[in-house]
Amino acid sequence: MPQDIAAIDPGWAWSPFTPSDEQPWNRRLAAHLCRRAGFGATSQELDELVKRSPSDIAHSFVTNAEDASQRDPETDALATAMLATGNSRNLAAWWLYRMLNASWRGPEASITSPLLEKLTLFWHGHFATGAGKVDDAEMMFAQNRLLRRHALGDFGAMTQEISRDPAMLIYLDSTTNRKAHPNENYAREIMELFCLGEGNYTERDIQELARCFTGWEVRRKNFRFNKYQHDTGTKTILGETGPFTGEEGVDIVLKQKALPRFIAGKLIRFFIFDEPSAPEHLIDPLARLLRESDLNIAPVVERIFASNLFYSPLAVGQKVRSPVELGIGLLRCLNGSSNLDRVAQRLDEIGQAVFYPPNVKGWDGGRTWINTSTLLGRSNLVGELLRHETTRFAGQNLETLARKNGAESTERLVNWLDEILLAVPFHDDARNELVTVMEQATGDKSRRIAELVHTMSTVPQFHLA
Amino acid sequence: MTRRFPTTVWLCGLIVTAIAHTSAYAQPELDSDDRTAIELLPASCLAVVEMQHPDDLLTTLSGHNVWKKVKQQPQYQEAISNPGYMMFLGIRTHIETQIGMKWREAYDTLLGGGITIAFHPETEGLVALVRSTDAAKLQATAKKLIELGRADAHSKGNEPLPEEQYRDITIYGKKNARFAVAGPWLIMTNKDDLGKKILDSLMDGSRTSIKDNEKFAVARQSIDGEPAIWSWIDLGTVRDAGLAKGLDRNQTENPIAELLVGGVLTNLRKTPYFTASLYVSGESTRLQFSAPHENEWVEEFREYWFGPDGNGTADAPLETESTILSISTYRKVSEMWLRAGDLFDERMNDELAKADANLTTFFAGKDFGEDVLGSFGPTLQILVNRQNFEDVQPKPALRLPSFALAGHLEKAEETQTELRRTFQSFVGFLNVIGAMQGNPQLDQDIDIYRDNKIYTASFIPEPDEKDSERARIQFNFSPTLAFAKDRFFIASTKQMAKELIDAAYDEQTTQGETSNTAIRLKAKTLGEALADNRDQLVAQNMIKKGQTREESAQEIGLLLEVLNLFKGMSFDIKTTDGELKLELAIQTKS
Repeated sequence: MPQDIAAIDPGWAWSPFTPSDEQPWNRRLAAHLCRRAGFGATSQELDELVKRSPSDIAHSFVTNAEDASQRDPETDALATAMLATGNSRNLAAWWLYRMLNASWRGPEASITSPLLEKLTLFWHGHFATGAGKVDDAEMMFAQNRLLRRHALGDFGAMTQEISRDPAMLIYLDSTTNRKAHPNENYAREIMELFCLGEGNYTERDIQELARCFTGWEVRRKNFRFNKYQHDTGTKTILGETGPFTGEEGVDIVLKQKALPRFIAGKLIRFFIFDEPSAPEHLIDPLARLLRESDLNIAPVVERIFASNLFYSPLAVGQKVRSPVELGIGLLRCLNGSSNLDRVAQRLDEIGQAVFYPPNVKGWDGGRTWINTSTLLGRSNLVGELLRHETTRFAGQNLETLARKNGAESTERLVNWLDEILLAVPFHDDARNELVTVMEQATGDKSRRIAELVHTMSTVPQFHLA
Repeated sequence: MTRRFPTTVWLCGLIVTAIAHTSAYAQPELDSDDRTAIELLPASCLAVVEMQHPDDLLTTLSGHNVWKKVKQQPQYQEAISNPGYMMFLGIRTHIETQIGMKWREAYDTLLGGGITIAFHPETEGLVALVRSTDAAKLQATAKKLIELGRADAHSKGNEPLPEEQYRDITIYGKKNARFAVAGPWLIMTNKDDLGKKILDSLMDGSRTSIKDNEKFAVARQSIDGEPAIWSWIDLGTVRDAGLAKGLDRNQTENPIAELLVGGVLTNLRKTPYFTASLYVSGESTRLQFSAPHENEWVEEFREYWFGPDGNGTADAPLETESTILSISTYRKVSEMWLRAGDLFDERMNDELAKADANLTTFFAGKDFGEDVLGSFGPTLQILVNRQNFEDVQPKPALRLPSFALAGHLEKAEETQTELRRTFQSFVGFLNVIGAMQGNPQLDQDIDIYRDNKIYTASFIPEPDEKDSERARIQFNFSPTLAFAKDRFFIASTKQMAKELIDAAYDEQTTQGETSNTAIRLKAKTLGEALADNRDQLVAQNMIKKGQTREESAQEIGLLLEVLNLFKGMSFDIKTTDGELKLELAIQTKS
């Protein structure tokens, strides 16, 4: 198995992973898949997953997510209730509720799938739009629906729609884009951040594309095309010349060779490893697949989750958990529930307020999740989740959860937590120390288990995914 | 094998054991003593709390509808089936077997003569006097209990309670935690000197007692009915001792608190004592505070609160079928505003000065304190009604109650014009703000209702929003200004303004109100307003408590069921030349 990313054979990397004696398909690998494709899994979910093959699971995850993406969350009564207050902050708790209550078991178990929510979070960071500036919960909710609807679908259709999305237009100051003064913000970001990446366009391309978007306005929270403010003149964009409209301008961007490589590269970084950047020869097969699939995301995502690379040591434990992955992941793995309004506030404090990305580039992720301030905040988040008065595990408490999972002795408890919570297992010395922590802790068993998990969260590998 | 009981259970049983143990050594001549607790307490006690019939209180509470409902709940059933409770029941049964009485009979016997607690400032002592109804039965019970107590102490290796004799009475316990039994009395105190004073009174019978304290005697004579718990505090002595320094402050930083209880503070700075009485019945629970009051105590700057001669009386609330909450009060707010310098601290005065300048501008140069507030009569009402959305389109997703401010105008014709113009300016202002924020616009209209003009404004829905069942929150409001006779109404909806006009004309008001302030909360309409938003409440619970929809719906359903057991709540402040009375009452369905 290659140990150096630069030396990886792409053919091997994207071939389906086949379990072997050297690397058997087990609960720990299934947990890795669930952490990356969603926000973790309970012990019972892992038991079900290890009975199936990795390829079969990757296919069903994608199929379930595609299916869920077509169920409009507008019918979600919880969202309706949250929107009635008109406060975008409440939407964060609503989304966390969806992430937490999504089920790997498919549509019969939940209205949504963990992979769909994870991908929606990915696109939210990609097409970053901040509710603070938009200042309208309904528009943010509508954008969230848009991202979810297209999360595994046609990237081109998603880009066309997001280009006319009122929240995006407000966020990038494009609410009144007049031919006399074309606003270049959106034209710049669609090329630099959303589709092509730096070095694949010129300043002239941005100026010309901005002319295509003239006349695109937001009126009473809806997109409106004002033909009188549209520049009908000839534009030259990325080598093509014509009196392009905004939609035609977006199409030209979508046709660029750089696009599938740019998107595939971001998907690899989000799902497989934070760093170093994937070399081009590794990205190319996925980029080809994306183009051959007419920019459909689902085949690429399925290929990633079934691949050798995904299950290799180059991927397992090679990402830093985002705050959402940390908080929601802990609750999901321990079959927990809590005050999600509070959780949303805590996630904000450690750098990931959903619906409030820091800027148009979204969250940088990777090592930037960790600094001296957030490290303490992350530990506090874990401690608060474990001990908050509204938090329940398995409907009751940690003692009940441990008993239901046959983790009644301290050693079994430590091993069980290690398996479901950690990407990189503790070595024996650390395990022995944790056993001591548990045995020296005071209070009832639930309190002592909370102390144990909180102690685990202070170890760096707890923060790896 | 000796049965070992948890410490918590033994703490509960300790008092019973102590009574039994010490009663065995009680003097027979005291068994027939028929004096009350207040005849035993020193005259200089500062505070007294009396519960004359604990048995009646327990009977009332255990038969109460709310308690019956609580017992039906799964959470209660779960709680009484847990191992800790089952162990408690086992131990209780064991004790019952030993003493030959069920716990309820023991409770009635041991506490049935009443419980009195007092604070004595000279000794800084707290004492509790518990009287049993049957000294002989008590002693028989005690013999059994003391055996259990001794056996338990022995099995745990604990030292027996220290004891000493005082005038042939055995006193048990350590310093700061003493008890003794004399005749039918259990006496518990944290100070030896206080306990000895009471034992001396009990045995000598000739000392003066709190019964002879003039302030206490007057307060006790004025007890209204038979409260379950009655308490008295010698506030004059408390003030003289410098223990109520907070009452010395003239100024506050909180205008709302000043409006609500400023007059109460005036009273507490002068009144010699106050009493608190708790009344409990199947239909209501009332907590009543009462204090002597004289008009001459009222400072000039607080006349706005009490009214001329201290007789300021609130209007009867303009209640209707849909009223959830009404607050009716006598407050001459213009006077309060103009006397702000006497009532509030520097910071608040600065804030009020800024507000005064802004409001004066808003009211086209009319002096806000003198001209605008001065045009209002001294009685004001704030009302909250449940909205009826049956014939309303669009219907908002979040269905808020409507609310209104109602009062009288001193110079109706002149002031109506000013208010109308200001209202129209205000609506225009809201439209400018709304347009900037992309919110729907208000459309102004004038309506005639029962020969009165109603100035109203309604939000205009978007074409695709006209028939919506979950429209924006703004569609809860149609700001309205209305007049009827000399009254004015500033309401959040046109519907409510009409209801208030009807109430004013048809005298759909409660009668006989003589309160300075009267607050009424109706459980039925509150429950209906909450039920209107059941989905919202369920969703909030899901988010705030991490519950499933089913769990959350069940909890909200229970909340509404419990609410349905109540009729409502009221709070009154009544002032006369002679007494200030505050009463909080919760009415339940029988």
